[in-house]
Amino acid sequence: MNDITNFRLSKAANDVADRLVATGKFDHGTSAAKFAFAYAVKNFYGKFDPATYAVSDSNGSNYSVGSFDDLAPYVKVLYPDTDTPYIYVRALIVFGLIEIGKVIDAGGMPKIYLLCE
Amino acid sequence: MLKFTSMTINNFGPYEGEQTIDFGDGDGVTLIWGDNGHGKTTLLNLFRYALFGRFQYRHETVDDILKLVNREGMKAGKYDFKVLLKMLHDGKRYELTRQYSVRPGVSVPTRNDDYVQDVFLKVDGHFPPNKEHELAMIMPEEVSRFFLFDGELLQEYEELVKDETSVGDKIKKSIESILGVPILTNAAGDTNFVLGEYRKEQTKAAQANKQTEKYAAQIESEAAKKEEQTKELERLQTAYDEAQDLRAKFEDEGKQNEHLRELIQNMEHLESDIAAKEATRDGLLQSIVVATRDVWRYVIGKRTTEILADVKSELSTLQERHNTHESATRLMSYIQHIVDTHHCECCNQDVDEAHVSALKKRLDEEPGEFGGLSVEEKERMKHLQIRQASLESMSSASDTQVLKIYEDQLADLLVQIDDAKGQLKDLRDEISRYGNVSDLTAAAKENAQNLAKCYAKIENLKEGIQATKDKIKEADIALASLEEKVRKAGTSDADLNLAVKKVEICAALHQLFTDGIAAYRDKLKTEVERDATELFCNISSDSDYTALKINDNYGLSIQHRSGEIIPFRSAGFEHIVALSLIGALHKNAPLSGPIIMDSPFGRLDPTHKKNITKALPLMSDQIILLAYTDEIDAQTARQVLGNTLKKEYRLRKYGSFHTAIELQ
Repeated sequence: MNDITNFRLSKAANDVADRLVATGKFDHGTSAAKFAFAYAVKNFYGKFDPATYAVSDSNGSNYSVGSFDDLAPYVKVLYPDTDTPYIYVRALIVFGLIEIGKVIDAGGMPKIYLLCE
Repeated sequence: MLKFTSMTINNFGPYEGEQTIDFGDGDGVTLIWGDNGHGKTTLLNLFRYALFGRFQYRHETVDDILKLVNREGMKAGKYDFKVLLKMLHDGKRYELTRQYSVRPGVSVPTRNDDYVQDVFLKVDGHFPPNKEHELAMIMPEEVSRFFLFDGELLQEYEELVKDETSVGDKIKKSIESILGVPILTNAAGDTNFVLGEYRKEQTKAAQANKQTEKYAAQIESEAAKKEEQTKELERLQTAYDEAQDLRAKFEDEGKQNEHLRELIQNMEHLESDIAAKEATRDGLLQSIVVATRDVWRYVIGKRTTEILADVKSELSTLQERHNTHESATRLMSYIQHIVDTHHCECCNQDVDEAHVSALKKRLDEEPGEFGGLSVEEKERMKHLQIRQASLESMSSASDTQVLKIYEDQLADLLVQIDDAKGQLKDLRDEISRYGNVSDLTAAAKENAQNLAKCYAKIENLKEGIQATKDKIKEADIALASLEEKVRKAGTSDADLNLAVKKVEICAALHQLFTDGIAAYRDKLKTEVERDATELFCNISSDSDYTALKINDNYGLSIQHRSGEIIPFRSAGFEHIVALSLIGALHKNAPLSGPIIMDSPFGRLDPTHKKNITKALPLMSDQIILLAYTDEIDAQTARQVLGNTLKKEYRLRKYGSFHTAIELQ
């Protein structure tokens, strides 16, 4: 299977990224996306399968995979069997953003360090 | 006794739609809680507007009708507004409606002329012929300051202790009005007028008598002089009153300028404080952005550390097996060497056949646990070694401690900025009510010049008034002497005798009223002093302050146990003295009614707040108290008021132009 060279986030995930950037605590959507990637790995590794995750739509921002080159080694280590790391990167970013969105909707925008613990 | 039973507001100020506050018919205290900017002062002003048709903000009357309409209502196309005040007075039910409606033909009002004001008054279901008179009978505007008052303006009562201040004069007049003194002063004025008419008749009768006609001519001349001087006195008195009004206006403007300068200064401090805080906020955000750029490595590191531990553990097991196998292989090679050479290199001795056979047998046995790794296991080990190296290279030295510190600081700072912006908005609102402030310095200078001119004019007028009064007095003495001569000379003239008699009786009556005024004033002062002292001692927490002493202006001074008058009293005690005076006036006034107070506790400590709350039911049968949250402790207020607390409302703000009145 061929890996992707650029990708779009889903609309819902993109909205969460925008909300994170709007706090002024993230300089760009890519920073928020990387954080969401890490959030998904930390809390859902083993429970969430990026290989089978179906991203609902592609109506969010468009990114070159080059923006996420530093995530690929992690995917290779965490999911050694994959040969499409950027599909995994996208799945984990979208899933992580959706999960952070649930936290925000339930109790308002949390402090970022609380999401790290 | 006048009582307010309910007030219904429709589309007025911050009150959107129709909202009613029910005060009930019984005696007691109604508490209305509302924070700054939630509409407390508007509520107080609504009583004033309903009763007198005037909407006042602090010292100013609001003339622009469009400023009174609820903004949310306006957006929805509702431009009419009204207030319905229901009252009970001497067993009769009053319903007073005051409303502004958009004039027919006008769709969107833009100026006052686009409105029509209507006032309806029903008394026991009927419309009285003269509603203004009815209203003036139950609540005359000149005494309203004792029924509807803003806590912030209580300091005005300090003016009563000073001599001849314009504010003090006005308050004194109001005090005498509420105490009923004008009934006597009007009577004295009326008898004086009648006395003048009788004196004219007496002069006419004297002119008709040969023996007194020469005196009559002199009386006429003196009376003409007196009349001229009296007219002059009236003119001077009017000019003096006008000058005093002007002085009050300039003094007020001066105070407002001073207050405005203070407000502007506070606003500037607040603006620079906000700017500094926002700069700190931006700095913190930059630091946070730097931290969040890499924090994902730390977050992911929490998971990779766990994975690394698993990898290391598995690798360690495989490594151990591999090492054991390596050792076993080396040993087997050595044994094979002995078997092949029948010689042991280790001990440098030959080995006999029996031992060689035993060793051969050992070599032929299954390797068991020393058998080494399978091909797959070796592959796995290689894979794990690579994975370990990758995971180790990913370990992050950073943690979230720095981020936590920055974010906590930011959260505190944002609250401070928000609070400061709220204060700034309140300040700007207050400043905007003063209109154009760009030329404040010039205005203050002009005001000071006007005030100085006014002071000089007042002094001149006072001298003129005194000189005129002296001339009138001289004329009176001359007239009295001439009238005495007439009385003595014309004893046989019946007409003259009758005229003289009328003058004598009317003069005695006039004197009676004049003496009555003085006696009534003294009596009132004694009673007001006594009742104010009683209230003051109930409220004051200082047992060394034993009484209040009243002066001619109804100003009250605090007396120490030693008998000395306290020369400088605190702002808090000034407040307590003012409240004591108002309570005493209510007790002694022929006209009684409710007291509605807006934020009356501002300068007081908790003990005095509690004492005043306790004393509220003593001040009037009906008290409506508007207080901001924590101005008084709610639990303490409920406790000390007990069953005299009738109802509690809260003014809850749902938007900049929408305050709801909610029953607690």
